[in-house]
Amino acid sequence: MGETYESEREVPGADAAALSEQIREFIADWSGNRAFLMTRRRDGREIMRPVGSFLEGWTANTITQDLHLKTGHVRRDPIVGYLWVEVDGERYGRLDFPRNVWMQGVAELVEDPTEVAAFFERRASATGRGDAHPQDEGYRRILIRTRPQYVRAEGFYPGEPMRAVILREFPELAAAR
Amino acid sequence: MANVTELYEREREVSAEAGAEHAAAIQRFIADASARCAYLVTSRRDGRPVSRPVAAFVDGWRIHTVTQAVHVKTQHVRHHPTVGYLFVGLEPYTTISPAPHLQNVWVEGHAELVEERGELDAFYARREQVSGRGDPHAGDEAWQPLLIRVTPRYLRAEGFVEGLHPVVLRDGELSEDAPRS
Repeated sequence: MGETYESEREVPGADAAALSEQIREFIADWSGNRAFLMTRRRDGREIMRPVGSFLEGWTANTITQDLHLKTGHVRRDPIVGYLWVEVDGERYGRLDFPRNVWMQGVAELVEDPTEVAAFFERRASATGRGDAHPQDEGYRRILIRTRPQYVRAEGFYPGEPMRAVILREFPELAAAR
Repeated sequence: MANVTELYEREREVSAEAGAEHAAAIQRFIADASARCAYLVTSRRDGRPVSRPVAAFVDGWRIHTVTQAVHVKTQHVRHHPTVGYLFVGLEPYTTISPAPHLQNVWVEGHAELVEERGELDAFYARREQVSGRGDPHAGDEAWQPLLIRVTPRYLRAEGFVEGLHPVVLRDGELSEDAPRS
């Protein structure tokens, strides 16, 4: 297996747990990273595109509209993934890449206008960004709300940044169930 | 039924003709390992996807990543050969939205595992010829390489035309005979 494999091995669970809040803060910082959302077509083939994302705890939120392809994808297949890539940060490892976090989760579509409006209020209160298009009455806002099942982060483990930090437990979500 | 709004219009795919004009620039971007990072998405046996950063050598439109049998991604490709690469630029730029943008290209395609030593040697020779990087593990007996070789079927690129319009290239436009740089 060799040195390369060893340098990329998953870190111990206790170390991963100790880094989880730092990773959550990283993906919550929308001005310091770029988010990409992966959904799946009817035939199962994946597609990814850049999106806005707003984090509440470990729940990732993205606003869409009903005529976007990603909305139809999520309606048929709730398994999605987010990738966050750091912008203008320090690079790490042999590949000289920016820090990055993958989250695979289960998405739901929130279509109730009252719930969507409440989301905009919470986002405005946290970031100053409410409804980005308040004057546009021509589209129906829908919220893609994703709860994680698996998170994989690189660039966070001190001294061995290529080792993957993997999170499979999200206590806040377990408590909410 | 929703209206087609201004917001939707400004994110609409460019025409096939306009897309073809940008194909060469997109191919150069994904082939330039110094200008972008690459992430490979594979699927577990239960269908759930996972992504990780990888080194990717792009030759024409084909994408190559060296792996070993012990890596999870190798098992994924063996079970489920539909994979995707996301290439993300390293230099941010601004658009009408407040968040930083990065040029990005999504490529979905069919992966095959190349295990035959002669083919691997040919790959390393080709990579050395193009990029100056041959086999960095030559002589290391613990290193048991395999090659993931991906033939693309669908490509979506952002940051190559003004605004938020994506360029989408499909099968025929991604063949080895398609025009490029």
